[in-house]
Parts: sequence; structure tokens; C-alpha cells
Amino acid sequence: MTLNFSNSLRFISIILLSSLLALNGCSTESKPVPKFQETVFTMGTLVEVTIIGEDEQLAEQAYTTILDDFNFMHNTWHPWQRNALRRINSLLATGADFSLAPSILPLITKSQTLSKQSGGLFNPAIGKLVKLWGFHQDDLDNIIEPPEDEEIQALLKDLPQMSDIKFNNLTMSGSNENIQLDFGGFAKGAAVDATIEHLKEFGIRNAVINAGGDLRAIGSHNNRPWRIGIRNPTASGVFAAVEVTGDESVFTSGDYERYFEADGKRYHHIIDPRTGYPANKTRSVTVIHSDAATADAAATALFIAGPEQWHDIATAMGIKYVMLIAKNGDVHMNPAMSKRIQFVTKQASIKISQPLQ
Amino acid sequence: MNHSDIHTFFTTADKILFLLCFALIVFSYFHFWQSTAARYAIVKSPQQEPLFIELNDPGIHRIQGSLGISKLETKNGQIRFAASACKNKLCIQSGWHQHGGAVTACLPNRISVQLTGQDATPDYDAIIF
Repeated sequence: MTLNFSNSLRFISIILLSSLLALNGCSTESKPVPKFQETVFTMGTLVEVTIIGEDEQLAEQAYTTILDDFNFMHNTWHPWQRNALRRINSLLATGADFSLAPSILPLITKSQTLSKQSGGLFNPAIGKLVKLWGFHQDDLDNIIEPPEDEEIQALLKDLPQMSDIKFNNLTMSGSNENIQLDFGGFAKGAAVDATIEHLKEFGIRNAVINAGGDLRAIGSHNNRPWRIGIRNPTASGVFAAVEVTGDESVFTSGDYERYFEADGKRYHHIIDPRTGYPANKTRSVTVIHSDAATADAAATALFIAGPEQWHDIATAMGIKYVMLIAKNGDVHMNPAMSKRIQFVTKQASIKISQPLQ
Repeated sequence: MNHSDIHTFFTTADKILFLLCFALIVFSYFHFWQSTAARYAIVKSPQQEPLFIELNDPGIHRIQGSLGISKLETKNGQIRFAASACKNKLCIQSGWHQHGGAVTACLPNRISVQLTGQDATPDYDAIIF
């Protein structure tokens, strides 16, 4: 009996020891791989580029190239600077035909599709409304009060849509004098997509571009998934994490990104085109999708849609992973997203929806 | 089972085996599961050379940015913007940061702060907000 008991323990110990040794031997972190990481201010935000497992010279060359890309897109697509977008906005308002603008055309056509899918909740044609709220400036502290309701209602009477932009062979025109394109965060998403494609052309297989919360990751981090933290919308620190691998974008849109305060009330930058006021039912939305521009547009639309309508809009836009934090703190997710999200802090109320089709 | 029984049950080889197991469990815990909080912050500004700050050294670091001075406070392995020349103060409101791989910034003052460990694996490869 004594001998058997001792033998059993010995057997268990050997199994445990072997398992632990095997675990140590299997560590994917054991071999250091080259890591290139740079941060730069562009597109009005902090852009972080991480490249793993590539020759330093190649990574540096690729980074320099996409930095030029970012700067070009920033200058071309900026909503309130003297640039190609401003010229197009002034021409669209005239209603006359004018030559297609190749530097902005892909943004217009893609956002037309996404705007239609979102039922108009994602609407980059409402630049005038965004400007009326004062968000066409870097320093929001200059805003002392929200616009008059009369001014907002006047713009809502004939609210421009992306479908008001018509194409005719090699020319385009606007059919609403109030059209003013402001691509907002969507431009960042499109820029991330363009630069990731450029990295791929360089032969880069494992990289992350994070443009102030507009993130796309390709490949993996040395044979493990990329680990992405999601900042807490109401406090400091990370409240959830998600792992991505292959080629995916993770985008979060929140009411804490750009805002001003007047008379003790906070007004954020995500304007509901239906009411003309900042959307007021959502705190943040996180979307995972294959491309960053779609993830960006969807996050904006779902933020405006709020807890009651997000599921319908996500279905219409073909989005498969959504997490929405409502104003009251409830966390809404579809089942597929709930399997991927790992909460770091305890959430009071998590509501799992029907699956997204 | 009293003290003398233990000597009867376990051979010397058993005891060595148990000790090895225990040592490996302790090693594995620290190697795989221990939190990988950041140890340093790399602070970048167009106005000065990149600065490495030890997060466990409590103190206030004055960084010259495009608009003026931002003050970074370090304490207990964390860092935060304690003051900044920007107007919105969003950098200050973002609070303390301690995760390896985290990046925070004062965009108007063009100061970025990237948290990193020396050899440690960061908690996250990127953080979105």
C-alpha cells in the first residue's frame, strides 16, 4: 500500500514535470524577433506603426513611405484646410459639372455605399452641420455655446445626403447646395487601409497601424495573435481586450474623443443627422471588420443608432462583431463578439443580442 | 500521518522530484502568468530628444512641447499627464497608464508617451481609444 501510494505520487510528479518542461519549451516568446515601432503625429492624431519580424532597413523604408502617404492624405482630405477637398466642396455647392477628383474619388464612392447601407446614419455630406457645431477647428475651447436650434433646424430641412453627388462619365456634380463633405474619422480609416496595402506591397507580413484608435493588424505577433487593449470610456486604463490575427481592423468610436462643454453640459462631435444634435444614447462602440474604413463608418453609424437600433444597422452594413456601451453603462454585444472580448474589469450589465447575419 | 511516516512514504528521489516540481511551478508562474506591467516610458516631443523615464521612480518630469510645458508624473509603475499647456486637458483626464505597450499623448502639445518593459512582453501590442 505504502509503495503504491508513493509510486502514484511519483507518477503524477513526473507527468507534471514533463508538462511544465514542455510548456517552457513551447513558449512562442522565447525567440526574440526584430521589432520596429514608431509613433508620429499625422492625420490630426498620434499614429503608431509596429512591424514585426522584418529586416530593420526594410521596416524603416516602408515606414518612411507610409509616412509620406499619411501626410499626403492628411493634406488632401483635411475637412477645414485649403486643399483639394475644399475645392470640391465649393464646386459641389454650385451644382455645376466638374472634373472628377482622383485623390478624393475613392473616398466619395466608398462612403456613398456605406452611407446607403447605414440608412444615412453615417453621412459625410453634413459638413455644414458639423461646422455649425464648431467642430471645424483644432481648439474646441473656443466654443462657448452650442448653435441656436433655429440654425440647426434650417440645415435639417434640406439635409444633404451622399446620394446627392452624381457622376456622369468623367465629371461629377452636387444636387444639394448644402453639401459639404467632412469625412471625419472615416478618412483615418481609409488612410490606414491604404497604408496597410502599401506595407503589404513592401512584403511586410506582420504589422499594426493604430491611428488614434483606428487600428488594422495583419499577420501575427511572432506566431501569437496581436493583443489589442480597448481603453475605458469612463475611466483611465484598459477595460477589455481582443485578439486579432490574419487581417482585421478594430475601431472604437466614443463620446470622449472630441467635445466641448457649455453651461455644464458636454457636447461631443458625433452628430445624429436625424436630429442635428450629438447622438445621446451611446458612450462608445467597438467594431471588428476586415477593412478599417468600413469599421470606422460602421462605428459612427452604430454609435448614432444606439442600443435599440444598432443590431439592424450592423446587419445592413454586413458587420459581424459589435460591442456598444450605452449611456447607462449597459454593454451590448452580439454572440460572436462576446466570444472574442475579454473584459479586464467587471461589467455591471452585459446584454447579448441575437446573432448578426 | 506523522513526521516519521512521511520519511517512510517518500524516498529521497521522491523528495527531489517534488522540489523540482515546486521550483518549476514557481518559475513558470513568473515566466508566463505574472503581470507584465511597463517599466519605462519613452517620451517624444518635437522640441527635445526622446526621453526614457523609469516608472517606479516617483517624480514630476517637465516636457517641452509645441505649446509649452507638459508635466508627467510617475509613481508606483504608472505615469500620467499631471499638467499640460493644452486647453482641453484630455491628456490629463485620461488618467494613469501602466500597461506595457500603451501609448498616450497630448496631441495639441505634440507629446507622446509610450510605455514599455525592458525585456518584458507588453500586456497589449496596441491600445485603442
